[in-house]
Amino acid sequence: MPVEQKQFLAGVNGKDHRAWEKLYDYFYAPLCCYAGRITGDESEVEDIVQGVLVKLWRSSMTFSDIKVITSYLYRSVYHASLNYIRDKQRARRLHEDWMKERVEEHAVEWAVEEEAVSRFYVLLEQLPEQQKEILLCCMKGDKVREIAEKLGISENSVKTQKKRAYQFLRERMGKTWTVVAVLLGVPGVC
Amino acid sequence: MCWNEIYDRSVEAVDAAMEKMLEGGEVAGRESGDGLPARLQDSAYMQACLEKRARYDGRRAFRALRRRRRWLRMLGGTAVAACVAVGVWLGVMRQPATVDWTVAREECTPELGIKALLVTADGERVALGREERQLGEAGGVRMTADSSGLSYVRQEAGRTATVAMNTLIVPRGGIYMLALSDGTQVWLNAESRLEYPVAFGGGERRVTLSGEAYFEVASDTARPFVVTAGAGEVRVLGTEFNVKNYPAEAMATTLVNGRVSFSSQGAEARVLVPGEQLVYDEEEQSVSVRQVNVRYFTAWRENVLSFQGEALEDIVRVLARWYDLDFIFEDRALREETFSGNLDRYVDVSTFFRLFETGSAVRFVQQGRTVFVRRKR
Repeated sequence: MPVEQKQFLAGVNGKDHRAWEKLYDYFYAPLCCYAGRITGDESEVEDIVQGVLVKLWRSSMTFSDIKVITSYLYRSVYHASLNYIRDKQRARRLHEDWMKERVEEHAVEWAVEEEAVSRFYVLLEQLPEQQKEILLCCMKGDKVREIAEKLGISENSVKTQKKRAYQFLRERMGKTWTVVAVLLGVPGVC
Repeated sequence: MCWNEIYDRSVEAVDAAMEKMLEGGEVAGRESGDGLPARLQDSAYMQACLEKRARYDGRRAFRALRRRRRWLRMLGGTAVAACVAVGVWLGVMRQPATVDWTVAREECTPELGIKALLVTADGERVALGREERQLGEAGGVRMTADSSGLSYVRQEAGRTATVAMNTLIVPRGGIYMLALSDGTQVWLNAESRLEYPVAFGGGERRVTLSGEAYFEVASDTARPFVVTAGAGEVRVLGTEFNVKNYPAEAMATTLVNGRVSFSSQGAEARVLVPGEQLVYDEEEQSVSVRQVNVRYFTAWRENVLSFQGEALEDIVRVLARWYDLDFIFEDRALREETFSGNLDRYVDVSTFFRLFETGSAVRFVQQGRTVFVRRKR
């Protein structure tokens, strides 16, 4: 396990201020989006997520692996969201069955998706500004010429920067790459 | 559902997305397979996700958490199992116990936990520790002690003519359980003292309390149970309630079950119903009754130090009694800082200090048994 990950885990377990700030940076917004998918209602997702985090903060629970934190958080938000739906829908029972079926089917998929978006975004965030810009344009399907015009640089620079960006991504591929190292090095995800 | 897969599967999806990008296939394969890697490459999708996320401010939420951090909670099952027994001498002569706290402190074991000093009617002092021992018998009442504390059990039916008084003193850092001869259960908190007869006579059952105790009174309509606490008294039939009566603090009675009435020289008798707390201020001769969550006021029995929006000044009094410390406020304004939380009473006091210090203006500096309460720079 990388040193940064160990430090991060120890910090989370020990309720360390800095580690928890990172935890919030990385997980808070995605978990809110996730709760929104489940409840289909964004009005109280922040309360749901904060409730889960506060519970963890107050508990003496410890984690041995970042993977466990990830699944713990998504699972807890899932259950808290279901509770929220249950409480809300006493008034509108009809929706319940439909909701439950749909939600259960997708609960893990959605969590994987949110986590992948976070991970991917963190990765892109590590690129220098211009390379990131170029990469995003490429993702949109912009041509090299269009990108060059937009950024006011030569087509050659676009090509070089794109190559560098790809090189950067290539180096970070593979399962040994952990997001935690990034977590501790990059100030904010969102 | 496979919650454990979230991490690994998201790593796979990101890797797959990157692979596709590096192959130069920004568009290729968008509809194939899992679909997630393709979506990740879709800048419009990413943009939408990130815009949505931008609505949620993690930093702000974390600051809110830190403001709430005063809601400390430390769980952990540090249950204390050991209890106590010692030979006890029961005399007939009644003699007021003149043991002061210092003596009780010296005679009891220094560790936190179950400990008390029993002062018998003839002035004999017996330190009750963790060891299990056999106890004596007197006046038709057998003294036993096991993991549930000290108990007085009547051996014969009928009433005892002589009423020998015993005093149980729980020093700082101590907690103790007691079963009286009528079956009433008493939990005594740190720095408390209860005076009671070995066997109750025919009239009312009267005990005298200084400090804090929780009573589960055995029902006996013929003999009301009366707790004398300073200038006031709590009169009950059969019930569960908590009485807190420390010197220099207002006396408080919290009723869990049943019915009690409180009376004092200066005030009219008041009847409490469960969930009510009566506070009696002897100096001002004022009585007030309010609704409370009884759990907070009886949590000490379950080895939890529970504070609900209490001023630091009051909190440190509780800590002083339990951890046997003296607190000195270097900044008077800090006395008013309020904190809430439930804390396992068997954690080291330094853990407690660290938790309270984080996110607040308070700093604790311990030197020997004295703790200075400072304002952080």
